[in-house]
Amino acid sequence: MNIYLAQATPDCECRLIHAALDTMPEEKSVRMKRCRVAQQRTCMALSEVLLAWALLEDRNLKVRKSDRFFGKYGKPMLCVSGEIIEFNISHSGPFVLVGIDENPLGVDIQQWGRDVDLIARKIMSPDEYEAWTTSPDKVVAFYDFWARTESILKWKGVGIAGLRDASLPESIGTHPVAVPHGYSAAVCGCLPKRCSGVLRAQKIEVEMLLTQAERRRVAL
Amino acid sequence: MFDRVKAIIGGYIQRDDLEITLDTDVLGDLGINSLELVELVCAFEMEFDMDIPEKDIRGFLTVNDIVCYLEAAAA
Repeated sequence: MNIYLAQATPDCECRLIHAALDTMPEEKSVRMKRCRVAQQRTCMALSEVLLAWALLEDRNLKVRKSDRFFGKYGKPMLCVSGEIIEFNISHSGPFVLVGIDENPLGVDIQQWGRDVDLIARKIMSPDEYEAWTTSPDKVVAFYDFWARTESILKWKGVGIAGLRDASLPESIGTHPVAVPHGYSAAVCGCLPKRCSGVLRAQKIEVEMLLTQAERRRVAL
Repeated sequence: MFDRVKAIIGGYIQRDDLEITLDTDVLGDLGINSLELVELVCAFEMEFDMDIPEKDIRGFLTVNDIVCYLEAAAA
C-alpha cells in the first residue's frame, strides 16, 4: 500500500486543471468545471494529476480517461491494460491524499473544524460518544474518529448511509496517517500484520507533478 | 421552505459569492464534503426539530432534494 500527499496552492489552479484534463473522466471534469469553490476545483485537479503520477511511478501504468469505471455502489475504479487498480482519493483544505494498493482501500483526510459536539452525537454510538467525552482533546479525537470512519465507508464504498456500521472483516484494518497539524487522516484496507503506529504518506511536490505531466503530454 | 434551507446553507458556508438555487449541487457546486453535509443535516434537524436518518442523507444531492425531503417530512 502506498499513500501520497500533495498540497495545492492557489497559483497552480490553471496548470493543474490543464494537466488533469488529460486523464480525468468526462463526468468528473464536468463536476470540476461546475464547482464554484476554487480550492475544491484545484484539489479535484491535483488528485487526478497525483493519481496519474503515482500509477506511472508505482506500476509503470499510463492511465487514460477511458480506464475509469464505477463499482457496485458508485465507488470510482480503474482498469488499466486489463488490470484492476485499487485506489482511493480524499482531499480537505489544500491537501490531497491518494492511496494505491493491490486490495481495496479507503483513505480520508479531514481538516479540523469548529464545534463538534452536535455532530459527534449524530454519528457516534452511545458508547463511542461516552468514550469521546473523556478525550483530552475532543476536537482532535473527533476528527481522528471521523477520518477513520470515513476511510471505512470508502473502503466499503457505501457512503454516508453506512455510517452506523463500522464493522470490518478480520483481515481489514484502519490506521492513522501522518498529515500536517490541523488535519486528521486514516486509511482502511488490508494492512500488513506488522503495521503499527502511524502510516507515513509520501509527500509529493506539485511543481514536480506538473513538470512530469507536461513531459507526458509532449511524449504523446 | 426554500428560503429557510437557503438561509441555513448560506449561514453554514458563509460565502456571499456563491448563489444558492434549487438546482445547486450541494457537494459539487458548494464544495461541501461528506462531514460538512452531516453537519448541515444536524442544522436542519435543529431548525425543523426532526431526526434525519443517515440513509436519507444519500438522497441530498441538490438543494431541491433537501427542500422536497423537508417539505414531505413536515406534511
